[in-house]
Amino acid sequence: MNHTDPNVQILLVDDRPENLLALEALLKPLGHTLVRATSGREALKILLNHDFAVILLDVQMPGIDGFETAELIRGRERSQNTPIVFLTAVNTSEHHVFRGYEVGAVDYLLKPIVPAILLSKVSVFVDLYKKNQKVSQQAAQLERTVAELEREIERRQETERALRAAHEDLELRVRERTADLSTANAALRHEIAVRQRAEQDLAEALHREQEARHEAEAAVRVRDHFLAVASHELKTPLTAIYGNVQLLRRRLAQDDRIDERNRRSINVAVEQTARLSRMIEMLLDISRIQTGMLTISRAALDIGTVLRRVAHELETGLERHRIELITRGEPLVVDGDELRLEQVLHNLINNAIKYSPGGGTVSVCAEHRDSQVVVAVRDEGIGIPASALPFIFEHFYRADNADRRNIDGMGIGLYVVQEVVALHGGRVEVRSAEGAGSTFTICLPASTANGGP
Amino acid sequence: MATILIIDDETSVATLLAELLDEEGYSVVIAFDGSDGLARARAVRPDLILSDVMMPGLDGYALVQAIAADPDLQDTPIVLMSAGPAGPKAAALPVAGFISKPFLLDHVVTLIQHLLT
Repeated sequence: MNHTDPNVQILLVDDRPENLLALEALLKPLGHTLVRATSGREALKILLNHDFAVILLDVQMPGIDGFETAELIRGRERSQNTPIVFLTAVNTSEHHVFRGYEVGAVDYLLKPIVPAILLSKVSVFVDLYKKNQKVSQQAAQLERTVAELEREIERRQETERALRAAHEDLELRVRERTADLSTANAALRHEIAVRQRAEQDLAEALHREQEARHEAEAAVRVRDHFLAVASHELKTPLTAIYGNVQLLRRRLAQDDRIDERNRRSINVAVEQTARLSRMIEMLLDISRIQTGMLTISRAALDIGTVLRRVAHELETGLERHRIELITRGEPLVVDGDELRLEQVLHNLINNAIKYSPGGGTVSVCAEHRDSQVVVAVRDEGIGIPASALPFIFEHFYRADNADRRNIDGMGIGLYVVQEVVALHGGRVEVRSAEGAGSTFTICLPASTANGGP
Repeated sequence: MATILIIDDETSVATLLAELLDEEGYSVVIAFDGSDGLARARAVRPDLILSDVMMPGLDGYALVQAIAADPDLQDTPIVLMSAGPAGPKAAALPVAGFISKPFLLDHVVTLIQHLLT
């Protein structure tokens, strides 16, 4: 307990320096810092800036005495709890002592000072001071710890707030992202709906297209059936009419008395009935081609012979036209349907005459070329406009320059030509310019059989 | 004088041909359907048969087969007439000739003259 501590200060107050010296000498072994004051005033001054473990205060001093000094010390906040030990003479009355306790003294030391008592009492107060100091240090430490804890709590709360803010931010972002996703989802659903509708529209369009096609096909079947039946039904009365006008002409031919006008009338009736018959035959051909019913027979035949027959037939009655047949006299044999090929050549040469309203030469050149028999029919007529060329083999197609010139026709002849030639494994070519005539060329595979027809 | 059997369900055509061939000097017998035509053929034994193809009941093709199957008639030349085309079916039949309707009278007369000489 007697360990020295220079941080502990003891204030010694006495107006007599010898007393102060004596006290210092006695207390020095304790090792504490001893501060001396020679008056109450000086003590009070020192106490303004220093703390002391104990104050040894002489009672009887000139000026402010010990009691007054003690009262003033107690009156100050800094020093109100600092223990004060009065130093007084032995003859001090009871009253004196009581007064000392009233003003705040905690103990008395009687003069002459007994060193052991002095040291013991001072030590007690120093210990008390130290313990107080320790307690206040501990309190301060505690306060610091508490403050630290509070700061820690504050920090943690701060962190928690930051975390919560971060969490909220995250939640906000999640909500935003979710919102984005649901917007994207909605857009996607919309897109899917749009595509489904487009697919539905497409399917409906396809369905409508199929229905339209079925209707068109049904209409075509009805038309073809009509053509076949109508043509056939037309031919029966026509056979009777045509036969009877021919019979009438035969009978009139044997009568010399018949008027020339009647002869001409009957001729017109025969010719026009024949024409009507050909037209009906063409309509029937169209029907056959479109229903796939056009078939050909196959037999070796000489195209030169057929050409001469057709040319001879068409030449009759021509006035402004000339048919020039150019062959080398060689047999031009093909395997084909003689009636159908005659029809083809008839159509081509007849067209050449028909579309040369101003007259001129129709030249027909027939020859072997490689393994083909080639027949070219060239005229000097009105020609075919370039815009019409791609369509002339379509059925019922008529170039408008033919219509403008009132040239009769149904737009069937070339259609039949093309089909019949194709059935023979051949092809038709045309070269023409409006106003510069036309050349139609048919190429047929030459017969591979030996010998002529 | 040669005898010709004309078979056609179309009376105007049958009559036309009958008048034509009569005026050309032939003896003519007319029937207005296939069955009647076959019966007349068996009864008359004509030198030539001129028959339509499309007829109700026994048509021209069936008639040709019936004639070919009859030992008494199988050498009789038959000429078929049709408003339709002379297709491969007609070409495969044992007929002497084929005439498309409508026809040139000269063509009919020439063909018959050719077949009866």
